[in-house]
Amino acid sequence: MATEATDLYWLDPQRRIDQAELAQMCTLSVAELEELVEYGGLVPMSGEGGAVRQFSATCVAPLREAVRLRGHYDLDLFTVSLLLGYLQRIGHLEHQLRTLQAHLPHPQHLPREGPTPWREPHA
Amino acid sequence: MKYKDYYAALGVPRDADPEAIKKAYRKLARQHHPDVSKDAGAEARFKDVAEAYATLKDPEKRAAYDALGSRRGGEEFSPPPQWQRDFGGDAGFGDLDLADLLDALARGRGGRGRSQTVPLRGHDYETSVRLSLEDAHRGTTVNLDVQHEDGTRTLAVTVPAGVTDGQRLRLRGKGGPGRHGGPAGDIYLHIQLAPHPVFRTDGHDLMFDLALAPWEAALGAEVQVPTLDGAVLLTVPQGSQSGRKLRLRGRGLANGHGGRGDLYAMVRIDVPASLAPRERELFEELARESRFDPRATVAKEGGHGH
Repeated sequence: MATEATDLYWLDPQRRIDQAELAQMCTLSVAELEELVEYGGLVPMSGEGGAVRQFSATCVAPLREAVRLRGHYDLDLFTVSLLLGYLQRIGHLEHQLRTLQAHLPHPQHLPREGPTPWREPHA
Repeated sequence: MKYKDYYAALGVPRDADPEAIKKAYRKLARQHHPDVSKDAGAEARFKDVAEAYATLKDPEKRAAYDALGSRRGGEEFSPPPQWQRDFGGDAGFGDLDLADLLDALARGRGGRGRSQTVPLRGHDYETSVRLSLEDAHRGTTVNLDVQHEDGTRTLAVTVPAGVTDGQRLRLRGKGGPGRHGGPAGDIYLHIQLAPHPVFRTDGHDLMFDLALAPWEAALGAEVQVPTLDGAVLLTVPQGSQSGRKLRLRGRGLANGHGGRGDLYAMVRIDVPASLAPRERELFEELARESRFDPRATVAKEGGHGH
């Protein structure tokens, strides 16, 4: 069983998702999603003035996680909106941390694999 | 059918009010949640308390459960004849679990018929895959084992070139099969890049440490450096400081749109740990002759009031 290219969707900042689809992806009702927007936990990218609301695809992972925890701890929607805010913040900080770590020098315990100068450990 | 003592599972008396039940559940859920507890039996214990709470928080389910009376946990019992009529019909309860039965009863007297006709979406699955840098650069196929009702199936997922660490991918309709005409669920894939012995990633850019001898950094040099496509010659400008980034444009990871990120050599100046007599002589001569003071700025700034 193989996947087709059309089966793949990147959940990237460039991709936008309609409100109804986001609700389905995160096992929420549209009314619950609207409540999360009202509480400020979820911010639409567009859709004011009667148009269909759209959200960044990057909110899918934290929202699914918040909904999972909602089920596990029997949380109300307001708590879910707070949780979502913190999960998004953690995701953002983790991304920043990964970026900063990439720019730090490697720890000096790489195995010696030859005379190449970029792997030469301190004696 | 085996009786389960849901009150004992939550550690509350049978007359506990809903608030006390919720409080007891949350405390135990927090204690045994698989995200928190590393105990071997934590997940099973979490499922037990979640099952107990799912019944006791729902007034209708709780009333049905209470109607069974107080029994010992694990005791065999026969559900009341009324349940048999409402749910089991002629088929009986078969291998049904107490929780499933209470679920079905709570869906309404006649819930049995409804559950057979309402389209139900299939389960979503979340999983992560760890790719090597080379696979992320060139694209690859990963095999995922997906649980279906008819057993485990292997799904070959083509991961295109250009993925980065932390990216998420949705495989629409590749999760659990839907029921009663409902759509299949999705698979959510979390991409992680395995640490590479040489390169670190920042999006599609790559970094590596370029160790230079003091004289290479001072005089400039041509050094061989690694890239994903093999070693290339890099010109190190004279006077390269430690921490300087030397960019090799377009030598990073493929970005999936025909382009590539950049590769950065991060200069680190190493000094010999021990010196041969002649090396020592030359360094001493350099020390005598050089007017370079690496702490000149610090000395100037720190000179006030000291």
